[in-house]
Amino acid sequence: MKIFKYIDLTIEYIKRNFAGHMEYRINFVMEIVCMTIQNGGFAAIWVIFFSKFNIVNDWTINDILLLHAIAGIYYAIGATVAGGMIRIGDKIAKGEIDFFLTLPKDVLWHILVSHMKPSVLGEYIFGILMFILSGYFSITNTLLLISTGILAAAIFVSSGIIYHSLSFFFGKTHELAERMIWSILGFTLYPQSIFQGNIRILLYTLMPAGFIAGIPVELIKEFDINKLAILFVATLIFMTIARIIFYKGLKKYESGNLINVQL
Amino acid sequence: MSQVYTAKKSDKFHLFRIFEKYLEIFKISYRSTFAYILDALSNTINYAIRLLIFNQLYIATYSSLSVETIDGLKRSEVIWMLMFVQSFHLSLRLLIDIINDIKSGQISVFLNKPFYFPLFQLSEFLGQQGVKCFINIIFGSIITYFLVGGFNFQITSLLLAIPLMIGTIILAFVQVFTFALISFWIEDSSAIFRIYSKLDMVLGGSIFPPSLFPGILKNISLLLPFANGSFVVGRCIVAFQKDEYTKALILQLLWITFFTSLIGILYKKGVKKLVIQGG
Repeated sequence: MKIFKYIDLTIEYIKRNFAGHMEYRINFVMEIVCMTIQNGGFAAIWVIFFSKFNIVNDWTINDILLLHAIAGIYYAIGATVAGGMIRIGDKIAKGEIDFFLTLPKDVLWHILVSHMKPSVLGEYIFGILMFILSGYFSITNTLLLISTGILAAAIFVSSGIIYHSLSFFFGKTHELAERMIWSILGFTLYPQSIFQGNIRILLYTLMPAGFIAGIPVELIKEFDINKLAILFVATLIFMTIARIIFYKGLKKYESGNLINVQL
Repeated sequence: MSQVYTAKKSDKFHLFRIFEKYLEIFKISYRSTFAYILDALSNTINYAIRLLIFNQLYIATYSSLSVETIDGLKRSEVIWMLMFVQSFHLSLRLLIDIINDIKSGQISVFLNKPFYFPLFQLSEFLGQQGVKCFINIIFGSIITYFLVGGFNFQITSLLLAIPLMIGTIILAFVQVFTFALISFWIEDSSAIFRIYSKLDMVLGGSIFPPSLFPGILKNISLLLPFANGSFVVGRCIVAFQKDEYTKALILQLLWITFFTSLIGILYKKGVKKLVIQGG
């Protein structure tokens, strides 16, 4: 089946991306260690915050650590399988999509798997550490963390594709896209219970942090099949919209006649 | 006598010329930053979102505790303080540019020019960051006013905060530049700097003001360079206290002196290590 071929190829790409980073071993290890410590810094703020205030809108320090576990895992999965997302807008602006158009496989898939940050392992380590420290660690919750992490990663990557694809229609908007992606990330790192009122509409549409972080935390705290179904349907919707917008935009793409070598 | 007089006069003139040179670099830098004002404005999207999140966070915190003030600060004052903290930040861009200059050997272009490289970078940084901070404070004030309303604003507090603002930008520069100079010894110091900037985020009060920290952590953090940057500017404007102000001025000066001395040593040793392979 076609899907299995793509899965095989994706695994092969991930292996090669890792092998590529391993060529610069010291730098690779430094990136991983630094990423883990960096993320730890953000978690440290919350440790200080909750040591002062204990509970904020029913959220405790355990909940915020769980949130950071999910954030680490979804970001890591997204960056491993679809790290090329952050480069889409830049490639469109520079006319570098040409290279992918000549290849036999799906263009969007190819751009997504073509890049992986070396620091991604640090995200996994951080996510796992936070999960253990959160007190929610169990076999069932681990399975939930992985499955919701995959769905959240798909929504996150899809949102990124949508924002980056604006470059097809409006020219150089990749910096705006990056800012929107950072904003989504920002929303996913704060206690989800603090967001009340109209802002919640934003969190389930333009900045889907509610799907990416809010629902996964709720599912691990108290499993609800309906919420899992909502998350699954939302993932399909975001993926479909992202694909439609990207391919609509691709029709407008104009080659830069750029000759480059993809290593 | 006339010879001595001439020498003194020319010394003064020489000093003025030196100052004028760096002032010109500063002017060019802020003009070029203003030329890309749209880019600087687009930065305000993230900035506005951060302020929106902080407001939501502190609405929840204050209502969970059912209090009007925490350690003497109202919610609106905390948000205004965070706005000022967020307006200044350590620049990763400057660090990466200098690291790339050192790695590529491009730094040699600057070394044979008639200026001292660290002062050239400082003038440029002041020009860039001055404009960015100004834009951030203007837009941040508008956004914050719409979010939480005003605070007990005193023009004297704002005027007194000006030396602290300049000190904050200089302190940010000397910290970043110190890390950039480490690149003379290790290939890429940006990873270490990222950890340092996270410490700045935790202890510098970009989400949670150090004056609200619990126990001994509050006392320690208020002595470190992180809390003696943008946080003291915000604190001075929003909740001015004379003793805190004097302490902040002294500490800021001490930290700037410390990092400047470090730069002097590292730069002198680093430049000697530099090998340019022709080309």
